[in-house]
Amino acid sequence: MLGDSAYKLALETKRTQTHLPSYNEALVHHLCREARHALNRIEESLVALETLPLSGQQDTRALAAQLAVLHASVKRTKRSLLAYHVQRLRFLKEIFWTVGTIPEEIKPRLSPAELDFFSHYAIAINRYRAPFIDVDLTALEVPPKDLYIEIRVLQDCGEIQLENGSLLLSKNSQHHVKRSDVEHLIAQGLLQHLA
Amino acid sequence: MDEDYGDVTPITHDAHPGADAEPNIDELLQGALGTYGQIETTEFDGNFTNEDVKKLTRTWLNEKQAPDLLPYQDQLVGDLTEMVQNQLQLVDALQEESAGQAFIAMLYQSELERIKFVIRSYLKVRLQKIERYIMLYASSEDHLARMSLGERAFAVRYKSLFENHLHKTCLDKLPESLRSLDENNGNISMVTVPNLRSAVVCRVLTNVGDYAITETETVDMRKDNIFLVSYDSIQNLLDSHSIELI
Repeated sequence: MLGDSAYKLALETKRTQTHLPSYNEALVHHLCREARHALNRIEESLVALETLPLSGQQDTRALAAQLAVLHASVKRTKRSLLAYHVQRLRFLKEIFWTVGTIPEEIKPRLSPAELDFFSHYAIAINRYRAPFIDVDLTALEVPPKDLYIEIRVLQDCGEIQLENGSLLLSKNSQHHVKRSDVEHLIAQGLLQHLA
Repeated sequence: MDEDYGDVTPITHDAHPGADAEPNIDELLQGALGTYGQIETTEFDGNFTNEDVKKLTRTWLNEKQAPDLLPYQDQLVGDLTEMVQNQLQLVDALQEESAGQAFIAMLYQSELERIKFVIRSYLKVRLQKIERYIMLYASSEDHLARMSLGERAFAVRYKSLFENHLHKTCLDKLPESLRSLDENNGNISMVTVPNLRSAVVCRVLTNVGDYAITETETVDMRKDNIFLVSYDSIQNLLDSHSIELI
């Protein structure tokens, strides 16, 4: 039925607020085609409207109603399409700010255009933050309470460089380290911040 | 810097002061506090720093609460990032010294982390607003003038990135008449604009006197009063620093 697919996409957009499903290429494609088709029909109706004899009041009204419905559906389709894509971009940006890179398990769910967007977005942000190197713009947005924190290693991270020396982070070990040194690893879920 | 700390009790360079001798906490603290006082007066002017940090915190909270982008505080952010750089060097130098100094260095580092957090959050809140209202901001002289050079460059880049992506993924597959990104759909414009009528809580900083918050309503705004008002009614008070948002 008219508008069904757009509704489906809108529903998927809503779900994307909490997690990122695979890019729905087929549905997007279908909707674009539907919109093109609807617009063709609008144009046909317009031509029909112009050629209709003035006496045919009944037909004119039917055609006008059809036009209005089609027009509204095309607008709605476009809105659903944009909302879907913008919502996914929002999710990608969220990943950029919290994790920094796209996790392997998410990569297959993205369209090539989205991967492209991500890398260009990273470039744009990196250029912006270059003058603020000391402030480290991508650090977590949690007010710092303690300089040093207790962490437990959830996954082997190998050796990391600290401000003074290096530290081997092997699974299940616990360390007392400077927060800013390991913040990115906590964000990636490799370390757990203990109280 | 060494000679400045003449009165500080010498403390061993050992990483664990307790290992070879009874640690004298009082002595350690005294030494530490003495050093603190000295740095305060010799290394930089304490008042000046406090003022800037206070201003930054206010700027940051204003930006966080205001629905619209506020003018960028170039001077302030510049001064403070420079100060952070200097302090980081100072901390490095301090750590090389004794355990007492290392303790002071830790206090400094904690404070630095806090200041860095506020700067970071301030810059990020602004970037988020720019991204959210990009279609409006990138074409509005007024808003572009409120951005820093870096932000303006970012806005231009982000806008083309954003538009390109939408064109590539769906708009280009639609008929040409449907490809614009700034049309009106019924009463809803496609361009997201900040809601200037949203409610904000503000504290009055200097006596304003009678102020018209709506066409028919006037309130007496005195120092330290707190009001819940719509943002557009107090926008110019914010510009003149008569109020702050909380």
